[in-house]
Amino acid sequence: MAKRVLVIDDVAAVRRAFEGALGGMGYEVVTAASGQEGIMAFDQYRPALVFLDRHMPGLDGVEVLRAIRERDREVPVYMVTAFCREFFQELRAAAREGLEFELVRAPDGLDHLVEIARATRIGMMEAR
Amino acid sequence: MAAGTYVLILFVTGETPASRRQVAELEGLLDQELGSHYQLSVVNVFRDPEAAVRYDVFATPTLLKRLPEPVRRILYGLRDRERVLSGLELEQTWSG
Repeated sequence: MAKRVLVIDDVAAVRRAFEGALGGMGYEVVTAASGQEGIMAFDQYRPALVFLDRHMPGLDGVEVLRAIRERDREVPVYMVTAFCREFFQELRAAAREGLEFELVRAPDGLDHLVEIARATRIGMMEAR
Repeated sequence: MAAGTYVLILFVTGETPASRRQVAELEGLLDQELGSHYQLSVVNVFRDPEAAVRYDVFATPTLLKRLPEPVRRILYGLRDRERVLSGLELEQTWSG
């Protein structure tokens, strides 16, 4: 069974980049174009790994992360963000709140998605 | 610094329970595999994002091996001992 990855990002080109990188490597990529869609997709598909855009209109990345953590404390969630201090303020607050997540640096990290997915060892699991 | 010392930097997100666990697990592994022959620094990416960019770190947690050369970046999978040992080129000494 393919390993299921959920990508939540409002930018279509970014979603396509994930699909292109992971789709041909044995991962089933489910995408969502907004935070609200992402939460619904999480409930429906129960992915083994989530990539989540930090900044989206409507529900932003931290709000979506909080909703995911209410449902699942273990699933690896990577927040996709530029690495700069002004963007980290809300993420630091989320970490202090006890929300667990890791970071992928945009856009450079998008060239290493397969490596990141492999590091999570989701290849050791079936899709949940 | 003694010849043969491993110089390592672990990039983590903040001071979360997960980050503390990652540091503790890595230190345990390094103590076992390298004894005192390593120097580990921990960078909180939230406090020093410039360091992550400077060292071309593209995700957390990442373990950077600066010495001995070649420089290597290891995406540090949680509890993934084999990945770390392989990245440090220590798999030959791993006894399981």
